[in-house]
Amino acid sequence: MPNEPMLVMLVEDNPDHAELVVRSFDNHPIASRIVLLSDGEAALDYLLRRGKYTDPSQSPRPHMILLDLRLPRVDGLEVLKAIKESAALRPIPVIVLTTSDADNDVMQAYLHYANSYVVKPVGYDQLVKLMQDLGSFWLGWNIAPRV
Amino acid sequence: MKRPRGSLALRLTIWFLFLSFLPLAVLSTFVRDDAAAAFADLVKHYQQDEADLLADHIALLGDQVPLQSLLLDRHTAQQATFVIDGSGHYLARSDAGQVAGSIGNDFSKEVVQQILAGGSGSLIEQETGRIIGYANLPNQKATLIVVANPAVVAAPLSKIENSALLLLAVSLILVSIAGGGAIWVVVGRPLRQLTRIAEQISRGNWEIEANPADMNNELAVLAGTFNQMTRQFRTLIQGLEQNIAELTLAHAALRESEERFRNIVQSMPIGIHLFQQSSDGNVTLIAFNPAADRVLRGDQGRYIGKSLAQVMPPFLDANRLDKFRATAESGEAWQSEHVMLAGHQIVSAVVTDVFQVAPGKVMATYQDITERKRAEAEREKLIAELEAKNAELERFTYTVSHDLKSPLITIRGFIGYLEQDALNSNADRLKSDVKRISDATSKMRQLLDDLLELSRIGRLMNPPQEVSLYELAREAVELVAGQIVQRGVQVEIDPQLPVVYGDHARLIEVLQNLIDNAVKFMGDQPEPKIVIESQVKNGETVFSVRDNGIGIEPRYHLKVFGLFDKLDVQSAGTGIGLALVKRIIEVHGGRIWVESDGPGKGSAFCFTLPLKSSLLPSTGV
Repeated sequence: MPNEPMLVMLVEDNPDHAELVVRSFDNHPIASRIVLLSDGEAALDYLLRRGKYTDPSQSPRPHMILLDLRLPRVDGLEVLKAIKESAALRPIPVIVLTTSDADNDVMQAYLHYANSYVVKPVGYDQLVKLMQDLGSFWLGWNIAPRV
Repeated sequence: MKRPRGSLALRLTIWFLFLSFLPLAVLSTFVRDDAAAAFADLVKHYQQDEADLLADHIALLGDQVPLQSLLLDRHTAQQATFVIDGSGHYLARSDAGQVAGSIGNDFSKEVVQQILAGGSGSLIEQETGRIIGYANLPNQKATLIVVANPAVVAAPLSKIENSALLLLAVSLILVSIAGGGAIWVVVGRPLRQLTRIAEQISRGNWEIEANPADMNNELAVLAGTFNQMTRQFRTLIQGLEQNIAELTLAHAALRESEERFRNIVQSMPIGIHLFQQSSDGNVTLIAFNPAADRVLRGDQGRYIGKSLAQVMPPFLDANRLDKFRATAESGEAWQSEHVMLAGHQIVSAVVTDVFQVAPGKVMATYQDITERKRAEAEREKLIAELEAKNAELERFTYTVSHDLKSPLITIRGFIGYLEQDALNSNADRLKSDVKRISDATSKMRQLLDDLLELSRIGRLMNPPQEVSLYELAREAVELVAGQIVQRGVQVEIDPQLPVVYGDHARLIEVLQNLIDNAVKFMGDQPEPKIVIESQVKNGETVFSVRDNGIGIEPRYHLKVFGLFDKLDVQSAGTGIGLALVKRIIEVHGGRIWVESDGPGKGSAFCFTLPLKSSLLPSTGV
């Protein structure tokens, strides 16, 4: 896998949070590209290659998906469910990245086969460290099948 | 017991005396008559002797002494003498009577005939009782008559009679004493004892007993039998008395128990029907209690004797008739519950229990559970409300924590980058990052303000008043006139909008939000239009704010009312508008929902409001 550009998909409706995540991946040794989608519907359109993403060259498969739960239009859980129901998308690790640490949210995420669940930390250092670690683990240490 | 007059002993004595008196009386009569006859014979004999003696005397003296003087010599007060010739004419007489007459003048015919027959003899004159002796004077053709005065025999006769009477009296006295005493001893005393005992027994003294030793013979046996009988009676009576006492107690207990049960049945709040099945299978009402009138709402007296189908409360259908009959026959008990509704209101609720109390007798009890059912319904409603409130509160807490945390993450994150920006002397990014932080704090403040506003709705309500929704809609349109004019929206308000009851200021807020929303999501509609109207659906008035804007997909119809939920990230506002509207409507006791056929089809926000004063008590968030 070295030398191969790793694509991260970020589904986040809050542009500030999106900017924070993107910046956290700056200078990351592995995660080289990030595609940002600001609502659940857009994310599904991209992944299922419909709407304005019908051209596969315009919608390469991500190696990791960072998914917020509270999203406009289509809820994060709906997106997660759609991903895990699709044989093509199921192997992609989905990391739920949210502000909520509610038990129900955690349980629902895992019931819908989330691969990991992390809560956005309040604080710059922690946020940067979390993103570095997530990238290292899921794109470095973790072996996922090619899609 | 009526006591008989006279005693048996006394009567026995009287009869004994009477029967013993008869022979004595007869005996004494005969004795007296015999004695009198013998005495008369004796007197006649004497008189004849007297006559014979005198005749001899006269014959001796004959011719020497005149006859008359001779007779006179012999004359006494007790005795007179006469001499008559053969034809009855007196020749001489000692008394002072006429010599010239004949004896026919002084004596009875029988006496005259016997004397004139001749010879000598004697007789007693029937009529006078004079004793007459006569004899022939042998030398003369004459007859001598000697007449004795009856008084001569009277004294001795009466003496004889007196003796006879005395004898009779003495005999009677002796017989009375002896016989009466014997009867008294042998029969009277034991009889009296038995009588006394019988009297005592008749007065209820069963303890007394006869003493057979005081008697002998048959009476002793009678007394013994009597005693045995009284003993048996005593035992019998004691047994009977005990039985009666027990029966009386049992009867009293039964009556008391019956009284108690009657009171319970009469005063119990459960209505009762008692049915009886006759031999032809007919089931009729035979009894009920006052509670039945109350529970079944009507006088049950008119159903007495009526058949089951007529008596049956209206809530029991034909099916139940068969079950009733089955219970009368098989004794199978059953229960059913009936709730009568008028709309959603419980009018009444009754639990019916049917069971067999005896073969052919069926009891139905009716328990009024209206209050219980109402309470249950009320409780369920409250629980549902509470659960809804709870869920809402949970969602609210969740939303609040999530949405407040979100700007916090932004602020803290970009503060970290500020340092980097400064170190890198990246002034542009520094400026933009500061703006991000500033915007996030504004957002936060806005969220807090909205939350405060939302929490106020429950607490800070103006007193409800009658509000014309038409006027309200016009005022609301005035408030958002700027946007409406800017977007060129046509607004139609139905002048028939009714008067509602509520908080004027809050209801304006509702309409203002809905109109504002409609304008905001008009999309690229060339002829934007908003219609505010009302119509009656299922008995309630539904108000609606309808637009021909972008519309809402059915799956978002619930989500639009969520706190801080926005379908369009780009749209202005925090997403509290519809949550606020929903809250205000609900505090008024109404409901709100959205109707839309989907994107591009426009949407209608519908809500209900109380038309009269039926506001729910205000509740805080």
